[in-house]
Amino acid sequence: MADLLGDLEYAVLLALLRLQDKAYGVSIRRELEERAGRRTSLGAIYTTLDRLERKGLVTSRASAPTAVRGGRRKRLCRMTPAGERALATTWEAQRRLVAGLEGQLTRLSQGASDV
Amino acid sequence: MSELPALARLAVRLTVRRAWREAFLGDLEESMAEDIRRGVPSSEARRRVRRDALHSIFDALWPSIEHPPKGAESAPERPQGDPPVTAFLTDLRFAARGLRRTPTFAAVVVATLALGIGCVTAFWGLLDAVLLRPLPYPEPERLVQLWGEHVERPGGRWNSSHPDYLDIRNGTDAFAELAVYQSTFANLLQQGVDPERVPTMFVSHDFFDTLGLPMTLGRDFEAEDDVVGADATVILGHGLWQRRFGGADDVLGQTLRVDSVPRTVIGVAPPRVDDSREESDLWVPVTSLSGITIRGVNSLKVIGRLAPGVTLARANIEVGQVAERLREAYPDVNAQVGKRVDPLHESMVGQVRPRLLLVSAAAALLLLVVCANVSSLLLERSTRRRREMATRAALGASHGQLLRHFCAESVLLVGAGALGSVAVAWIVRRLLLDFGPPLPRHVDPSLDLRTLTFAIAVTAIVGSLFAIIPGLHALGRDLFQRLSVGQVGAEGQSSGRWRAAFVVTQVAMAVVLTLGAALLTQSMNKLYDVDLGYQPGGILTAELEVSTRFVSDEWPATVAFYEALIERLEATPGVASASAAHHHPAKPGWDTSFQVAGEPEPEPGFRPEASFRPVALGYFETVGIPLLRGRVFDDTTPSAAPGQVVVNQAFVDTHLDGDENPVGRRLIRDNWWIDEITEYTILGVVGDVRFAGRHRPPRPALYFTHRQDVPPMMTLLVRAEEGLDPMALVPVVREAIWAIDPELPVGTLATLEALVADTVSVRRFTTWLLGAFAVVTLALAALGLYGSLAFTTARRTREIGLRMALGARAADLQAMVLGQGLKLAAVGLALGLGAAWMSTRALEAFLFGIERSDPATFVGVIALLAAISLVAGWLPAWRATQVDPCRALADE
Repeated sequence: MADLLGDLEYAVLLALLRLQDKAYGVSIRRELEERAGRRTSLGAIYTTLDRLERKGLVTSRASAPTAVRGGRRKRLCRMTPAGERALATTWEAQRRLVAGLEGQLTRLSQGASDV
Repeated sequence: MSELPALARLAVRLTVRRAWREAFLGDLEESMAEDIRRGVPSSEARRRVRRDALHSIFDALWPSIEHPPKGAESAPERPQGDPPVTAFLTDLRFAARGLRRTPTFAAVVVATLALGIGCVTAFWGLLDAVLLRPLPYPEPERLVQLWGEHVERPGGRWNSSHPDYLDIRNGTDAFAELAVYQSTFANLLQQGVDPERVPTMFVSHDFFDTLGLPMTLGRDFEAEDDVVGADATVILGHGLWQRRFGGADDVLGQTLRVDSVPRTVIGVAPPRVDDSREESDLWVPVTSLSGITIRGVNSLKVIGRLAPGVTLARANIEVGQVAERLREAYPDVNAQVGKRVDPLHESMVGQVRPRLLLVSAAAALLLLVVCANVSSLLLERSTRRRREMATRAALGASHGQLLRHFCAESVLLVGAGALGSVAVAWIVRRLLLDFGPPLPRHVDPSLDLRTLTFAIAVTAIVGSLFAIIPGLHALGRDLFQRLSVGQVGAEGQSSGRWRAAFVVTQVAMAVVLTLGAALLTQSMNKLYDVDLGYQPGGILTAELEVSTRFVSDEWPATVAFYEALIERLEATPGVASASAAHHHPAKPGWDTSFQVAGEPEPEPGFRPEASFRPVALGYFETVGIPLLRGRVFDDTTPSAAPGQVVVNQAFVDTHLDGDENPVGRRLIRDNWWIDEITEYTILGVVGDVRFAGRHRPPRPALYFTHRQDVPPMMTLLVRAEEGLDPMALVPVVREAIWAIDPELPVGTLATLEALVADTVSVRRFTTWLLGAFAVVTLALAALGLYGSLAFTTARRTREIGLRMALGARAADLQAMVLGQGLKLAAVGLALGLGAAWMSTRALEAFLFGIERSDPATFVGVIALLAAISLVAGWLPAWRATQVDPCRALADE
């Protein structure tokens, strides 16, 4: 899969990397919201997970049901090796895009937070 | 722990793939629980969950729009358990791609559907607006109309007199309000504006109260305004107020001259008082009409509002009792008069109902043909695709999935057809309103919500029909069987049966419509062949009302005016002759009672009646009515006694026992203008005339001279010189009128031929419409037959090639194909004739001079259908035998 990841796909894969075996809809959403300040609907996350799974970048398995979820199972997600490669490729591409711009970007973000 | 909102669960079920569904619901529940733990109120938490779930609909659609599955030229790849919304969207996209590959097919189906649904929608819209929609007044179901009728032969629609009206109003308590009105035209004079002849209504003071309409400005009539000798007042119509006075408030208190009487404006009526096309410009108290106090003058229409809780039946009983008292009290004028109460709505639309239903039924038949046509097109398409379906089924597609593909295709086709049908409906509605005969109620030219709803309902029904029939057929029972090569080319039995059924339906419907149209067309031709009894060609008419309506002793001036005008016109170049009549010959006019002198006095109320027709000098030669015996009025005719009368042949036959020499016999009749005239001597006999149009038989008529019977209103008749268009005389006629009386408004100028045509305009229009429907259905039926045969012969190319290779003659093969087509056509024709035989019963009332079972028409229609079927069937037969046998055999 040489294609670069979409924006939300990239964000979701990063969340999977951090959450490891605790990654499912709610925790991914919380991760995106708390770290990136990005409020995402569960539907968008599931559509993304679905697409990632069809591309073979993610696998999922059902957990044991818990009471807090009305007896419903979680669907725990994990990156496949292909997913790890895709994440790395996209990160690589981003890094190259950013290379040499760090100073300016830092200034921009400070300027942005001043406003 | 609170449950997830039902709406959220439904949204998830519709949009989330099965594999993820449980997890998604669990996540939603967990989020909600967490929110509540954090102290978010439960209702807010539930709202968030619902929003989140609904958002997933968008999320489900978006990626499939953004990233359509690639490369799927056959079935799109789709994992099992795709959410239904996403799945259907994929189906739609796939179907659209399929249709793009067959643009002609798509265009034909969409256009046919648009035509069928559009026509039905347009006619439904009119039907709804005229027949079903309640009248635009408060509590319209309480509004009634009161008619006079013959006691022993009820059903008439006679007007009432003012004294009768007052007696009914005072003699019952069935009505909350009871009012009278008379629609006419009045001459409106205002400083600085050209004199104008405007539609005017003479009404009793409670007219607006009856309808329940408040004034827009000023006050309504009071009882004091509505008595003989009251101060002259007028209420302006909303349209006139806007047009002439720019909607200004200071119009109240101004003085207008209406028919030469100065009247004070006291109010402005609301817009659209009468729910008909023509809106009155002026409203005047009815008591200012001359002769209003005479019980015999039945010139008023009566409307009422039933008292609360009073039924129509009770009102009829009470009115009947009053009518009986009136018959006893006034036997000379009321001896045979009964009274009847009808719902107002029924009174307004009852007469157009049969015709509206007829054309709407024709439109429905058209839709049926359209459905049959589109069905067979879809059927043909699905037959072609059986192999594809079988392959897909073999690869694991379920029947449900395949059926969804057909649904998707139908949804696209019918959806596009529905959009087109709105345009068609709009155009047809505009055409009907602009060019059709006037309707009894106001119909807004724009399509309303009810009409659109109807279009949507029809579309839904038609759409589901199309989705299911060809879909089920294409799937059939044994999909796998069809995979074997030999089977694929052959047409399944069930498809053949359906196709035959569709062709037969189309032919049958075409027969019904064609036969109906043929009968109506022949009726029209018979009507045009009818001898009117006069020569309407080359005559210009103008309605004039010399300003005497309210000043009864000015009649000699009226007579002088017309005679001067006629003299002036006859001296004008281009004018062959000129005259005038109270009613031009194409107008029914009204009747007068009389008695033949020397015969015993009839019982009161049983005096014979004949058409009352005052005319000016030169009338008979100008209009072209032949003189049969004696002579007509001339310069020697006095404007005093002795009275003179000219009668027609029908009068002689009916009332004088066909007397060979009636000249000199005398009639007794009251003269309203000249008291001394009580007897009239018959001067001569003229030919019969069909008053009120071609479809009415000639009636006995009495022609009086306007020197002795002075009508305030006359129609001027000017015959142009041979070869000159009568409309070219319009300026000289206006000039001549204004040279004598510059303040006299000239009403509508029209040729007599146009007025005669107006009397059959509704018939002509119905005929034209039915004819148009018949032509379209015939064309569709021919196409259907042709298409069906072309399709089956194309499928049999190999067989035909083989037969030809084996030595079959082309003519025999053509006969074989043609025979197949003719068999279908014959069945359709037989069924159609049967259906037509039954349905022409509904047509009987519209026919003139022809029986509904007219054998010549039936034979003609059969011949026409046979000829069309021959052509439609022969073309594919001929094409089939043009095939090169080698090619045909190599094809497979």
